Amino acid sequence: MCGRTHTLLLLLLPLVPACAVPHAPPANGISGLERVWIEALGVDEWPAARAVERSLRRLPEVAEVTVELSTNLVTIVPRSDTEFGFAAAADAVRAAGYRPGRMWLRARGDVVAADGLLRFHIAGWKEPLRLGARPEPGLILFDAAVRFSSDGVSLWPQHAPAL
Amino acid sequence: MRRPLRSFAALLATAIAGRAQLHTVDAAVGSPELPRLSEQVDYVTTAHVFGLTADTELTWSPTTWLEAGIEQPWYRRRVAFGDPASGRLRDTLEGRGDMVLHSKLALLRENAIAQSDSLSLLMELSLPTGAHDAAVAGVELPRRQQLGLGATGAGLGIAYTAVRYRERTSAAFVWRHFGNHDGFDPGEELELDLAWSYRLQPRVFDASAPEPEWRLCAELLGKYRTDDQERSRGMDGGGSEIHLELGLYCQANGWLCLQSAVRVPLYADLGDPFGNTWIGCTFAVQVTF
Repeated sequence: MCGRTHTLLLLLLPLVPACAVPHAPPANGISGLERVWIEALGVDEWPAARAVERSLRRLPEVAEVTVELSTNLVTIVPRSDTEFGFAAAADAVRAAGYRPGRMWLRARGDVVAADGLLRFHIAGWKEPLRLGARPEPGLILFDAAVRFSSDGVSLWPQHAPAL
Repeated sequence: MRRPLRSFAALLATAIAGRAQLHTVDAAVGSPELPRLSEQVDYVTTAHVFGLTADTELTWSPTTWLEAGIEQPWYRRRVAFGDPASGRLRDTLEGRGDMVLHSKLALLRENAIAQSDSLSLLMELSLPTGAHDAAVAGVELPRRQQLGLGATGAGLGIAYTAVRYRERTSAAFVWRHFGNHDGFDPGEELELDLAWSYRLQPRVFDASAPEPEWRLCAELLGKYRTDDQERSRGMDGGGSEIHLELGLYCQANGWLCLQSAVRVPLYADLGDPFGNTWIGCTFAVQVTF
């Protein structure tokens, strides 16, 4: 019995890293990030779409990927049990051989004031993200453009082209 | 066989270019995510030769700016030559040709929505892996008629590709130099290829209902070659040729692509004793992993 348990544990051992959550898990349960859209510029044929999809799927925080060839718009369904790495998604597009363009998100959360600045706190995330402009009051579902700068990620109220 | 088939062998050295065109090199470096395996079968006839070439190529991009490939042709040629009145010599040559290692270095890549411009440096190295001492009726064939040149060659070129929605246009220029082997020094080669393709279907891609991509492709394949040298003596055979190729391309899905094309000569002054090329047909299968 003890030997069997030992064998079973040895067999299951390689699965442990795969089960481990590789990115920061949401602090309070389920992530409020519902969709991320990113432009993969230069994608012009099915194999190219497949390359971008494969590269993005390799990210642990990505659940589903759909590439729209005519608009070069990639729709990402993020995993709800981990925070999403926006820069990692852009890097994945770049690693596939294409240029990451604009990025948008749709998320549930609330606007909070921190360090004298307004920030958007995606539900379940540890740290709020900087806001480039004040969103509409009474926000429930936030559509925003994601922009990168030396200060990190900032969100600007804007609908993705797909919406 | 001497000139036209060698010309086609050299054409095949830059063949399986992918991205709609069959022979003109596409300047865009392939995605590191997708290694490609291609098999291209080329059938060509001249006045006295029937030739079949099966060309296998594996291409992979270790980075987003560098693509590398290895290509191995296999030839089967039925030759008949000599004076018909005094009896013609006939034989079949079969075997592998010269292996080609090639790479593409991205110099420029500008991407926009469904548009791109690529400029790349092309480099290739041909290795004398093909037999070059075959004989017909006890007579050793001249080197140009052999399956391999017997000489190592190096090529350098540049390619440009522009994608504008449904259109793709490419231009590639390659210069090749071969070393001397057993007193035979193949002539220098210059190649200028142009390709234009148009996506017939779908007019607009729809991710929710993917359908095969069909393209029509036209290529203009030009080549100029200097005379060969044998034991420091100049030989005939240099010249130029231009071919027009029309092809159909079907990207069935994200991993399978089928291509076919017909090629006709527009101009040839290579002075080949075996006759100029009449018509060529190509069929290619490309799998991306």
